[in-house]
Amino acid sequence: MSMKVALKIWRYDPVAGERALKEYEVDAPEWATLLDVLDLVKDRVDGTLAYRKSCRMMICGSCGMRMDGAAVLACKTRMDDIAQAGHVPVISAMGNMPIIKDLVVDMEPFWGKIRAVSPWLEPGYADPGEKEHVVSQERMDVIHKESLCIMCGCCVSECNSMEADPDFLGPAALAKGMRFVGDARDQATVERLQELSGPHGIWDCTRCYFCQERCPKGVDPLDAIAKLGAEALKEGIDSDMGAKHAKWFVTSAKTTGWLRETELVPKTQGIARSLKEVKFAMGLARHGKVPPPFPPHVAKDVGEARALYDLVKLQGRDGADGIVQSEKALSRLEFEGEEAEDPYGEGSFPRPHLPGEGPVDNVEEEAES
Amino acid sequence: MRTVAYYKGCLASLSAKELDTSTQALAPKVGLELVELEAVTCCGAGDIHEAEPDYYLHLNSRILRVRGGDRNHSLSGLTSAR
Repeated sequence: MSMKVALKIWRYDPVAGERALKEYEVDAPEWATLLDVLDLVKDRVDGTLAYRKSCRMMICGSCGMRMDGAAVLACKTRMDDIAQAGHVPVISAMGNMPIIKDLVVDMEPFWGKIRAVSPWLEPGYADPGEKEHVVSQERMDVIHKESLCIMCGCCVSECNSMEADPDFLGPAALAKGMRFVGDARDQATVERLQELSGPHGIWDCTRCYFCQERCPKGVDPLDAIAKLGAEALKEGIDSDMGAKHAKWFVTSAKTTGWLRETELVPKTQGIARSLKEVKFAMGLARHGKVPPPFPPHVAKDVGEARALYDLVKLQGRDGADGIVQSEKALSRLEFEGEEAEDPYGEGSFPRPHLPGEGPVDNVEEEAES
Repeated sequence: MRTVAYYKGCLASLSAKELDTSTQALAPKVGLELVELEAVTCCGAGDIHEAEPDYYLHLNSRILRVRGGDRNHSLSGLTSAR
C-alpha cells in the first residue's frame, strides 16, 4: 500500500539569501516516516534539499526539525495519519539556532553550552584502581532520564527563555549538568551546582514546559532543571534571586498556606532593590490587589499543609529524590489507581509472550485450556 | 449546568484577580457551575517544584484529594516510598 504525502518545506538558499515555502507531493509507503518522505523528495523531486540524517532509528539525534512549528525527530514521525487526514504539514528548521541551509542548522551554540557544563565525570581520583565502582539502582533513578539524551537539539529549538536570552544555558545543557550533579561517583557536585546557579543558569528557566513536551526521548529537561534547583538549595546555594523567590513559596505554603505576595518582592530582591517597586505596589493597592494586613490571609485547615511539610522532612526525600517520587506517583496513578487498568490492556502495550504463544490477547485462556 | 470544582489559587485570588472575575463571568455562559474548593492551599507553581519537590508532590496530592471530596482518603498511594 502506498499513500500520497504532501509537505510544505521552508527552503533557505544561503548563497542567494532567499527563503521560500515550497510544496512537494510524493507517493510513499504507508509506513513512511517524515524522514522517509524527505528522502523521497530529495531522490525524485529536488536533489538540492538539505537536511541531516544518519541512523533512521531515533538514536543518533541528527534529524531534529520542526513540523507545524513544533520540534520532532523526522525519523520518529509517521506520516500515515497526517496524509490520510489530508493535512499538509509545514516543515522548517529548528529554532534558536542559525540556519545553514534548508533544514540544516548550525549546532555550534548548542555544543558550546554542552561543553560549558563540563560533561564528564569528575571522580576525584586519577587512577580508578582495581575495584569496581558500583552505583545502586536507587542512585541511578535520579539521573536515568537525563542519561537518555541523544543531543538532537529539539528542546533547545523550543526554549522560550533562550529566545529571550541567547546566553541561557538551556534545557539540553542543564539536563546534561544534572546527569553529572546526580551521579553518585562525581566529586564536583557543589562546584557544579554553584556554576549552574549563576547568571543564565538554572533560575533563568521560565518553566514553559516546551522542552519537556517536545523532547523525543523522554529526558524531561524541565524536571532536570527542577532537580538542579532542589539540589542547589539542599546545598545552601541560594544567592540567585530565582532561588530566593522559590524559597519564599515554600515558606508561604508552610506558614499561611497561601503565597505571601506582599513580602515576595523584598524577600526575592532584598529591601534596597525592592524600594524601586514601591510605585508598582501602590498601583496594585489602588486596584485592591494588596491584601489588608489584618486579618492575615490564612488557608482553611492550614495545619494539614504544615503537617505535610513535617512529614516530608521525616521522609528524607530531599532534593532531586522528590522528583523521582513524583514519577513513581504518576506511574502508580496510571497503573495502580483505584480503577487500576491492566498495563497490557486494550490499546496499550503489546502483552509480552513466549515463542509459540503468538501475540494474542487471550494468552491466559489458552494456558487454561 | 455541569458542576465543576474550581481551584482559584494564589494569583487569581489577589494580584491577577481579573482571571477570577472573567472565569466567574464566563463559566455560566458555557454551562459550568463553579464550586470553589475550600481548605486548599498554594500549589507552589513551579517554585516549590524546584525548591522542595517532595513537598510539592504532597501539597498537590492534598489539593487533588480535596477536589475528590474524600478527605479521609489516604495519600499513601501517591506519596509512600517504593
